[in-house]
Amino acid sequence: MQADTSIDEEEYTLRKRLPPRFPLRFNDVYVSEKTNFKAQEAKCQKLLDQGNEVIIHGLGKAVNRAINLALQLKNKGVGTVKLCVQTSTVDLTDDLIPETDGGEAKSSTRSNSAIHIRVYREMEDTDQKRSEAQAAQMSSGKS
Amino acid sequence: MQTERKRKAGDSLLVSTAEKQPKMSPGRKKELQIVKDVNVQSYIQSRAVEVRAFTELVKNVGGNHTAFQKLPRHMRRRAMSHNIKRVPRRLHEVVKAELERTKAPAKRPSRRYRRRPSNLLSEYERRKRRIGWLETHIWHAKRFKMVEKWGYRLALHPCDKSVRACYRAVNMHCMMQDVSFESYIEVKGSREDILSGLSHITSQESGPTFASKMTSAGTRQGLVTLYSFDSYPRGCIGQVTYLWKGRKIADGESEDESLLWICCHPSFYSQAMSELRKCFPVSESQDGINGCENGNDGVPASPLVRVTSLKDQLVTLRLYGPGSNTVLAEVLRPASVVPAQSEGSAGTTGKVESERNNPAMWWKEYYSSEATRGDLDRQIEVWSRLKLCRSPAESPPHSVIAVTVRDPRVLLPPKRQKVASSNTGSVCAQLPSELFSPEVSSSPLWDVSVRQTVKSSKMAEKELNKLKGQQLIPGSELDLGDEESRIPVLLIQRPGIPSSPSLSSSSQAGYASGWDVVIPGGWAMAFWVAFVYRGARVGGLREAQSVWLQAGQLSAPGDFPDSRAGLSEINAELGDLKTRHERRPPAKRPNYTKLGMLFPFEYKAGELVKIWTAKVVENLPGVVLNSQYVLDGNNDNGVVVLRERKLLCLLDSVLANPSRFLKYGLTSMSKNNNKNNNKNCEQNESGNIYSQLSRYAAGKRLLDNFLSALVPVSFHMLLRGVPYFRGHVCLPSDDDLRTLDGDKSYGGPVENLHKDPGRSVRKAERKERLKLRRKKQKGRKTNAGSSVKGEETSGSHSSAFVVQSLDLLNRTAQETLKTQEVQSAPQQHEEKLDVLTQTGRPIIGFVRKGDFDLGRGQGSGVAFCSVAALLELVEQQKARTRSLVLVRNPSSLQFRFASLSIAM
Repeated sequence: MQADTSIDEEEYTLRKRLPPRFPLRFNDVYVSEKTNFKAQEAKCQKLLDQGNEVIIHGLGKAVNRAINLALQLKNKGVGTVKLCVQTSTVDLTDDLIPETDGGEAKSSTRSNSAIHIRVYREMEDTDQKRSEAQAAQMSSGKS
Repeated sequence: MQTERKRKAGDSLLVSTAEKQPKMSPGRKKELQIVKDVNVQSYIQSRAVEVRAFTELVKNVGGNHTAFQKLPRHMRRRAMSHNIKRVPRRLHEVVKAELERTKAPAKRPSRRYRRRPSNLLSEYERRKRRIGWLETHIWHAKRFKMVEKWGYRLALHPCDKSVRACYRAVNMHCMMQDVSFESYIEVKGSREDILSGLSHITSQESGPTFASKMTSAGTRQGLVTLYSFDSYPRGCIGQVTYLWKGRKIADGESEDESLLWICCHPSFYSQAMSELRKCFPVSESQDGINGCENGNDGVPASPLVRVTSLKDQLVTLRLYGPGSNTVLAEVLRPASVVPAQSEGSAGTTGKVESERNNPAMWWKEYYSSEATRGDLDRQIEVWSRLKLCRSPAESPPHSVIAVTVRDPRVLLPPKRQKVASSNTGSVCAQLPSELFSPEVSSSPLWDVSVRQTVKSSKMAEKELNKLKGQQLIPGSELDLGDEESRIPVLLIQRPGIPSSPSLSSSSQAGYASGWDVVIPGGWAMAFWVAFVYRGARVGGLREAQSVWLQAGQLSAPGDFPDSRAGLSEINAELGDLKTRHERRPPAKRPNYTKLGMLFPFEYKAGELVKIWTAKVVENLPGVVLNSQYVLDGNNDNGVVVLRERKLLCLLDSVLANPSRFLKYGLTSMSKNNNKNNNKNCEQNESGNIYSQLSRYAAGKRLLDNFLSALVPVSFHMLLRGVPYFRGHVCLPSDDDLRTLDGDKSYGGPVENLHKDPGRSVRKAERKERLKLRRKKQKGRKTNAGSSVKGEETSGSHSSAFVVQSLDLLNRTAQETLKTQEVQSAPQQHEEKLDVLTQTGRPIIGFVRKGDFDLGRGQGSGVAFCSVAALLELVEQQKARTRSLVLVRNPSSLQFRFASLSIAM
């Protein structure tokens, strides 16, 4: 929206395009502000139990939610669940549609931060996991 | 007998009856003396009717008998019906005709014979003659409920369960509809001439017109509302989309020949066509009207604008939903336009020869120049980037992309499948606006000859299947080389719901986005089947309607009540409901009088607007209505619908938060205006909404011109309830709002049951009828059981009784019609009642369409409200942060709360 200062608001309507998305695999979850948090959590838990891996994506305002969701899953997993977090920047495009005959259509780009959290379980070594879980409990008990 | 003839003025013949008098009896003499002359013509005329009636009566004596059955007994012969020669000769003709009539119709040919391809085709051709068929008609007719609409036989809804399935398809996968009934009009001429002509039927005030810079290069599709010649804001025709042919800079001829396609709904196609013809008069009358116009503009008078109909020349398939990208990516594979021979050693001369040999290969000639081939490369590049997107809403709104693609029948998978996302890699690259240059939308589809060649050179299905069958490996892809058709295709993006929070916050952004695929005529089935085989779900008119509703958008023609097509659509729907209502017995249908619906089957928006305007103007001394826009009683040509974008935006922001508007004015107005206003507003905190509105130019315009207009609003129920067509949108009382504030789960007030004044009359009549029926039955019983002796008396009695009861029954039937529950003239009973005050809460508008919104999980709808009433609503709720209305369904007494926003 940096470029907008010179644009008369009466002459144009701002229209945001949809943000670009990764292809939707079955275990990709895109978190939004509008969805019910409990429902999202349940969905992620189900996917995690099915395939041992969920990837949670959050954009902009939904970053907090995505983190919250991932941490909830981790908490519920009692040490079995691990997180792998990556952040990125997504380029978004806004279209400015003219309201008069004279105006040219314009578009402006802006960037927004996104987060991609891989929530997964490692199934190889149960003993190691148990010890890890104990360690986690210890650490949580200490703190 | 002697008669004296006199010839008077005219050709009436008079016959004197003076000579007859001596023969008459003395008693009658006196009466007859008065009549001196008899007008023969009128005398015969009046007798002729009687004579005809008598002969009819005589003919039909004996009921339904054949001619020889009416013969006297001594003339009857055995087996008369078998052998016509036994019938008296004078009756031969009559009996022959009768036998012909009663003969059983010829045996229907066997199904096997009827289903032979040629016979089937001829049958289809016969059926097509009466009403228009789309190219995909047969496919639809096997699977869909078909209805006759707008001169076509169209698919209404599929025979399987579909509304929710189609919602899912639109939201997550792909839904498809054949919208070829929307046909194109081509306007050809110089751009200045076209624009000056079209300026008569559009208005700049209602938004961008044909002259819009955004669409002039042909890279985007435009949307505009047409009005009758120079009659804005009245005489709306309907909303159309249009497309300019991409301007080619390289070619010399481009500047003086512009091409415009106007896509028009069939319900107002002929009206739009005639208005367009008015704008561009044919060459004879050109110097009359067109010359003057150009004289004013200072342009030399050489206009030759041609308006032609492209009906049935183009096919449009509409795809909705994010999956449409993947479906399209599978079906639309860019064709190679480099001839197979020229890749080897063949030179340019050989290429030219082959072109001449085979005119079907239009693409060889079209893509022979470097420029067009460069365009195609560009188009292919853009398309390959676009198809990686997850949703059509990621590309620029209304953008147009042309591609020339391979024959989809060759690429058809052996079985129907559901395509997975073609993009398994990373997020697609950016789609900057620079990518969508005019070359990307330049297409051979604009060329008539190309369209015709593509249609005529289509390989028959049979041949193609034969070739497929000859493949060594079954199911492998057919390689036809140059023989394969190349089809020019236009893709037009539709952006769906915008994601701005002010409009529809709870619905998903990008819902209902998709592509319109425009292909040359004759190719619909090839593409249609290809799309279906890739997992596109097909919807009909009903599904499309539900998509429009959930997107909160207006659809042609029903949502344009100020247009002729829209009004007839509404009236047709109302008439349909009325016949359905009247089919049911009174106990099984709602009593609208009791429900307080005085006009359940009439569209009374005009009256509503008049009453509200008068009411508001009374309270506003300063406002002088502009006569051009006011609905006057004697010149009743419908209502005006407000379509000026600026005013709609203003009204929307006022409705969204009345209290903020009253305190701080319009924050979205330009800054210099805002500064001045903020100061003024501080003082005016206690003022009313009208004075606040009149501070703005747009607000003043609204008050002056559009107080008596209708405005489309979309509304969502606050809690429960699903609105339906004909429902009332009402103004809540202060008590209702207070109760809602106290109790958040308050369902809404209830309308008091109204009195039905016709009820007692109907009841008495019913009693009478029952009594008569009982009497009649009793009479029958006595008749059957009576002796021969008593027959005479009872017979005479019963005949008299029948006459009397028939008379009574007739009378009661007529009178019950008058005193039906639906009152056509309520003023007889209570003078005060009118459209506005027929219910406990004053009505501000009528629901146009409504249903359960699957996206929100709530009822929502579109209604048309009076602007004056909406301002009154805001004035009433000026202390509140959102404006609420009450909505009541036609068959219910329960009001429900709903929140409003302007539908744009």
